[in-house]
Amino acid sequence: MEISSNIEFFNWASIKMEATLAVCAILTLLATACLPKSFNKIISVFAFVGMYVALGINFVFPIENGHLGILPQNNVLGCLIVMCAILSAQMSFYFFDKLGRTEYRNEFIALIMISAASLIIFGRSSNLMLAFVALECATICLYILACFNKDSSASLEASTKYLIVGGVSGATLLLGIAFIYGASRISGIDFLYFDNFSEGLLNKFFLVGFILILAGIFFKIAVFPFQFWAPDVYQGSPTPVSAFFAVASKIAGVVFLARICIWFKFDSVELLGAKEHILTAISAVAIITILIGNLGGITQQKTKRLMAFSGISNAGYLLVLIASLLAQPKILDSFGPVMFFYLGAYMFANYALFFAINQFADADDSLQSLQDYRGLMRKRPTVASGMIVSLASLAGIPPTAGFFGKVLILILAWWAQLYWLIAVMILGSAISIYYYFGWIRAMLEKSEGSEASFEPTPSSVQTIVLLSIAVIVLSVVVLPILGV
Amino acid sequence: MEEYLIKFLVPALMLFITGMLGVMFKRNIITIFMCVEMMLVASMLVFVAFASATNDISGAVFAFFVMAIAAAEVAVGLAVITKLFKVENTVSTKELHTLGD
Repeated sequence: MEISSNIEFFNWASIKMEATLAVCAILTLLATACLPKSFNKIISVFAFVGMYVALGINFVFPIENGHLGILPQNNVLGCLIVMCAILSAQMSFYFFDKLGRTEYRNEFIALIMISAASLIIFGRSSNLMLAFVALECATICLYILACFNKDSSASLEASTKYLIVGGVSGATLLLGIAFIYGASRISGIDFLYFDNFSEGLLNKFFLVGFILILAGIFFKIAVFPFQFWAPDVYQGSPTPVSAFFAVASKIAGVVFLARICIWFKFDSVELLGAKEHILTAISAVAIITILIGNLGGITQQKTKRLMAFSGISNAGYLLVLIASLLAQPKILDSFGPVMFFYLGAYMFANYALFFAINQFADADDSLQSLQDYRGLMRKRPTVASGMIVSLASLAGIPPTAGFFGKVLILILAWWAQLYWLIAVMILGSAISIYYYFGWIRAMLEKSEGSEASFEPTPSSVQTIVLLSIAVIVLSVVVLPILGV
Repeated sequence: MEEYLIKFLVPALMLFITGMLGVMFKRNIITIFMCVEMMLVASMLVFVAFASATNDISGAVFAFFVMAIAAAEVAVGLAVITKLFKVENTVSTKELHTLGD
């Protein structure tokens, strides 16, 4: 009875963005199945309209109140993930053209929309049960997306690998949730809400559960010791899906990790011991992740694997941010804006590069190497300059957004007095310049590239240019708002 | 209470660790996938154990949610593995090395 009354009063306005995405995705699937093939173009347009409406709804009617385990005020998270979905869907046009299977495009876009909606709910949830269900829903969509190029063994292998890793991480996360449930001893409708954990915190099961949850999330955002799957999966998956893995699922995972670190109220007197341990663990993981990501990138010649190592090291920098929050809770006010600024800069730069990677004629891009980019500056100066700006942003060269994002993280880490982490982060950024500039050097070389043909479509050139302008403009527009 | 819990937790954790070891050391992808499912089942068992120890129904209800998710995962996973077998003609991790440097 209690539950039925809760459903009746469920505030649907609090999930309007996710609901728009999911409803449009289901309508897209139904229309693709029922209508004749000549309608395919119109259905794609409908799906895009749905995504833009979901993005616009967020600006026109900001989410004011959350309900039943969904938190208010996460417009930025929703915007970033829907933008990822739009960009991946746009990238898929050229991908399906070169694959020669345009009839699958609408299903692809629908799956991207469903997994984006679930990832937003995952990042916004304040209830572990909701978080688990949303995460698994997104992950199952991603298994299918990863093997969309279903006659290529690289794509199938990537999907199988992600299937195993995703299953293991899901089971680990679930075991962690089970232990936290056992520790909290809360029943009924309040069960598994973050708010209600303070009573169970002293229980010995709590720390076990928390560490298992951390392990599950570390799998998802690909940080040490669970980073081994990322290069293979990014390399084999279709490029639009690699971009979605690299950006959207990382954004949602990092936001969720930050959220549980904030909500578990480690500042209470009894928990100071546990907090020390968790801070040490996260700092150690951050240091090793930054070193592994950057050292692994140095020897890398294949572009998509390089992007994976870049993603691993960026996850490491974000862990530094989370560690500084744990060490110094006073930075909470500036924590959120800095995190979203960094994630936004990361998203724009990554998508610009993945758009360029997608423009090679080979369907799964899995063998594409830096050598293929030789002479690009001479042949396609616009695309090459856009890529150089994005690479500079990832490497942290001023005046790009990536530079300001890194500086903001370093400032917060300084306030938190985590000097070791600062040193490792600066060292890691210095190493990363080597391999990002290797890519730029290949583009500036005079000699010709290998036989793989690079045929940018006009729309993708525009997108790359727009994204690289965003990388520069983002810092000019957003930094004054942050009050830096 | 504690003894009651241990009777459930020890087998559940043994099941989980067996699944983990299977994922790490088995070579056949179908077996690995079964081990993954075993890990999910072990986590469900922990949930049900805590639910019954605290006399609270919500943990047991969540186990049903997990079952539904695991079923969806199996459906997609087996489809992927079947397609992999059609293309590569093997389901052994030893013989799959398209990806890499």
